[in-house]
Amino acid sequence: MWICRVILSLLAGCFLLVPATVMAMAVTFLNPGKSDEIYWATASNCMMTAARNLGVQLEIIYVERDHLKTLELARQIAARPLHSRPDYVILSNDYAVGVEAMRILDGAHIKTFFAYSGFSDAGEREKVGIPRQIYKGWLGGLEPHAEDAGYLTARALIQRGRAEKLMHSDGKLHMLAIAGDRSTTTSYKRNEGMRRAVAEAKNVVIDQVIYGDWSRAKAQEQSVWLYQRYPHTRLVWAGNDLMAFGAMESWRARGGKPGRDAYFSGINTSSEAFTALESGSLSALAGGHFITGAFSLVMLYDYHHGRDFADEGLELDRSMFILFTREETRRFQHLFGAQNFDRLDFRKFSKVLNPAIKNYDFSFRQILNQADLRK
Amino acid sequence: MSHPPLQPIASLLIRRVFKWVILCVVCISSLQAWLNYRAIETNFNMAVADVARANLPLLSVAIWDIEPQTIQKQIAQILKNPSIAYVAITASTGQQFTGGDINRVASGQHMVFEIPAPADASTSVGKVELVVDQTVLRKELLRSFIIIIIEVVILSVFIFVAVVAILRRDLEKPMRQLADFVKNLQANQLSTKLELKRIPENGYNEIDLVVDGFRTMQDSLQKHIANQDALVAERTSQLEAAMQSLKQLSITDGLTSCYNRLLFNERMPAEIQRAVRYQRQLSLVFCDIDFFKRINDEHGHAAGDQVLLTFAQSLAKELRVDVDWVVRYGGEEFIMVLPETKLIAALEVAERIRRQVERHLFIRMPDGKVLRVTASFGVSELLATDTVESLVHRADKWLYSAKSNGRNQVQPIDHLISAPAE
Repeated sequence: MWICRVILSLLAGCFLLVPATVMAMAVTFLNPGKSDEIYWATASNCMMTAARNLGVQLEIIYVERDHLKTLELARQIAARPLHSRPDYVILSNDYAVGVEAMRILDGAHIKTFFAYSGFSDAGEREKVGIPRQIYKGWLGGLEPHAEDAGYLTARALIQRGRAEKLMHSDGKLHMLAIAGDRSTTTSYKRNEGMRRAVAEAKNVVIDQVIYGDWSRAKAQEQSVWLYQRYPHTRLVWAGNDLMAFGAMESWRARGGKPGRDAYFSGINTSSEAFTALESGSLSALAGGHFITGAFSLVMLYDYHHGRDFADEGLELDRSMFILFTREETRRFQHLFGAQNFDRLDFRKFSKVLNPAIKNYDFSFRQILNQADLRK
Repeated sequence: MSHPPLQPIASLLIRRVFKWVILCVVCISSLQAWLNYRAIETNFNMAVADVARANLPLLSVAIWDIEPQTIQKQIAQILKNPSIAYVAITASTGQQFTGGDINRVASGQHMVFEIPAPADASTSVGKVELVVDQTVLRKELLRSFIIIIIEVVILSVFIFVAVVAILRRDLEKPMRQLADFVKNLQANQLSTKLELKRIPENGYNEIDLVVDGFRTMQDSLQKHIANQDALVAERTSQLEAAMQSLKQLSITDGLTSCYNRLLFNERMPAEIQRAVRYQRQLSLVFCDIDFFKRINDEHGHAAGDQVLLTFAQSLAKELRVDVDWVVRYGGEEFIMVLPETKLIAALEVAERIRRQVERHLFIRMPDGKVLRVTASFGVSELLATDTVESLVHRADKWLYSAKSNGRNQVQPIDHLISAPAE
């Protein structure tokens, strides 16, 4: 089934823990990824934990990376009878369908919130303006400062290359980049971060940037071409973990050993990525931003209960990524290894529930720490 | 009279026209087909090259960006052109993409294009090989050839129909009407006007010239015949007059204007027949001038002729104008035929004439002498058994008797005796 719909009913026990509300707040998340995609499944799991913590009725619908489906789903939601409509819909502006989806939902007076990807394209920005003006129901957004992911991994990869003395005869480090796609904000920002790291390093050359559509298989095929085209290049930056794995597989197929004669970087917190990082075949890994959805729920929870996030800004772009060290890798796997985020309690991040909090802190590092404390 | 078989001009013209039309059609079609072949071949190659050129930039980008799906889409796009049977794209890194019908590769024409890199046209990111399906070219040629043939056939049919229709309407039909008209024209209907059943809007053409010429000929023939008729009538009347006078001459004695013996022989049987049929009397007086030979001998023929003429006038003077008639039977012999007259009356007539001649007939000679003439008469009356000869013979016998008895007398005399003397 291309849509996996998960409706979380509130447990009776949870009711006792949350402050009494007349009606449970209902949120729908249109997950742009596939239901079997590790990253998006992780994001969903984490959001479900947050919803359970906060007593939110959460519905997650996977778009399965069929971006036009986003619009169809938005229409379906808008057409629902009033009592079964969600109070809020969390969208991600993947493949530039966000404007249209928001327009449809706003027309039905359903409030919208952009998580993961917002509006970075100038043309889009011109159409949407800023939240709560043209589209009244557009409350705002939260992005994981995707540039960090690109920057952190690229910088680590370049350092590794320097350390291994992989400079070419021209005295420069050569690098290949397998980016996600050409239109998603996240992809664009990660690339920007990667380019910033390259620019800072001064003696690094990007041989070519190609677009692997976040796909392991495609990246594998493309990397075969790239290795033939640039036979001396040994550094491969990838926009996510799956594409890094694809490139590593084709490298192995050529008889190479990733982490020994060529170096790869990836983004995301999949267990395979952590395993690869620990084994050394993957040289750099950044992640943690899957938490964006869960934090978005926290922000909407506070908004719903009278604590608007407007004082911190409507569209927040907060640093969430961390470049995983081996220690952090082990801790993450220990804490959330089975995709189980029960060790987290998102009520601790709510301003409504914790009036002492003045500013949200969304870094993944403190999540790791917070989970530690709870244990 | 046997006619040679009819060979209409129309069919001759059509045959000729068609022979030439078909010859021209064959020549022009061949030329056009050849030109078409060249044009189609050139266009075909250009179209294929255009397809390649149009797709090269996209292919270049797709290969550079390593987008296998896009490359396959491009191949599908190229294959939408029906003349391209097979596409093979080989990247410079060795990857190969193919599309189309591999079975048609062997017969096709191969065209290879280098794919330049998007940023640097001097380097190649691969090459694309197009296999052109010649059967499409051949189909195209066949199609254009069929179109030409159809064009030409339609054109020929139109020409044929137009020629036939015009010839039929404007030549054959009027000509046949004209021929029928002339064939059926009787001499006495020469004035019948020639009217052809024609569509008037076609204007004045050669047929009208012929018709007008024919009408002019009819008119002049008409006039000519009328003149001839008048001429014939005139000549006939002249001839009739001539015949009349000739006849008159043939039955008339030239000197005395009496009838001649010819007429007597001709008319006498009818006269006798009529008298017998109606039981009428008919008498004949045969007379002869006395001593006429002596007059001729003594006074010459001119005097003799004068005597004859004067004697004949004397005879005519005494006869009934429309009934009795006088014939000069021989040199100085005359016969008077007296229908409705008995012998006695005939004797009286003869006697009266004899006396008249005796008393009054004289001729003054140039020398001043007066020549006196007498005559002898024999009379016979028609008997039931008489023929012309017997009647004449009896009168002649009585004339002979009168001559014998001394001349200047009428015989038979016994009838005269009984008649009252003068």
